[in-house]
Amino acid sequence: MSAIDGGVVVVPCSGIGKTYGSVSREAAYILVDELRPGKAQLVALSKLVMGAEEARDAVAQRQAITLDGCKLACASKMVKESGGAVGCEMAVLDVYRRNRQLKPKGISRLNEEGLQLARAMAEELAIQIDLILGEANA
Amino acid sequence: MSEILELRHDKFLFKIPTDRQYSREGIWALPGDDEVTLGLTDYQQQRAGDVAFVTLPEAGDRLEAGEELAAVETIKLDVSYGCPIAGTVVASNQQLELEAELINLEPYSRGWLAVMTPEAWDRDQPALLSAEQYLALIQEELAAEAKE
Repeated sequence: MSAIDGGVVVVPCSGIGKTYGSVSREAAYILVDELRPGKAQLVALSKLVMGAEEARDAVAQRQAITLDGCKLACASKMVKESGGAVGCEMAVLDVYRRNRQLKPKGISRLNEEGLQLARAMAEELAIQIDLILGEANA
Repeated sequence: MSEILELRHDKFLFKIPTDRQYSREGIWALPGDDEVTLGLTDYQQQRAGDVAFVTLPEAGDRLEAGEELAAVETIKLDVSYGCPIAGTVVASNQQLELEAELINLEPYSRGWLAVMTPEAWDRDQPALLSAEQYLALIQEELAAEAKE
């Protein structure tokens, strides 16, 4: 079993053209590429929406971490509709409320505060991944 | 029990209770015995988006009509809403510091902004709209946007 086989899947918001969606995706990249490589696999929400078998299998087999850009919570809802289990769902707005100094702006290119907010979100989620995997391995 | 007017527009449903009056800007005013409770309308909160933070006056503050009642920061924009009446703030909704989303979830009840003792209700009240008039105003705004 590879590291990813025993890890979690990460599903960010697909809100293209929206600042909070951009923050969620940036946070997902930081989480998967930097903070917990080998323990987290990125799954595109659009693939779940389209019913891509590979994506549906991924969320069906492992706990999911969802990052939502707004209260519609599309990432969380789609994982559940795809038969997956959400181990942790987090909304950008809630992270921002905890980090008011990091007001995100920009869409295709986030401002510095937006990038910092994404990192703060990724760091919170990295802890959640450790908890989920710790419980799974206990 | 008060009636609630409803306006459907695309995927949105805007609710407007008839037991209160409205400023053109989207602040509702519900008079009590000696005080008036103020809040953001359902239409305004839906247009503004998910509320991240709200800044309100403190109890004891005196506001002129038109002076800032609330500074609301949402995921879409920052908006300053003017107070539709002159008076003294009796209380502001402290719960919004912890749960700003109450403005989105329950704009006409737990999402209230402030309670004020009006200074000149008889002067300020006629400038407020009835629910029917406010509904018509929203319809005009939406129609104007559709033309743009």
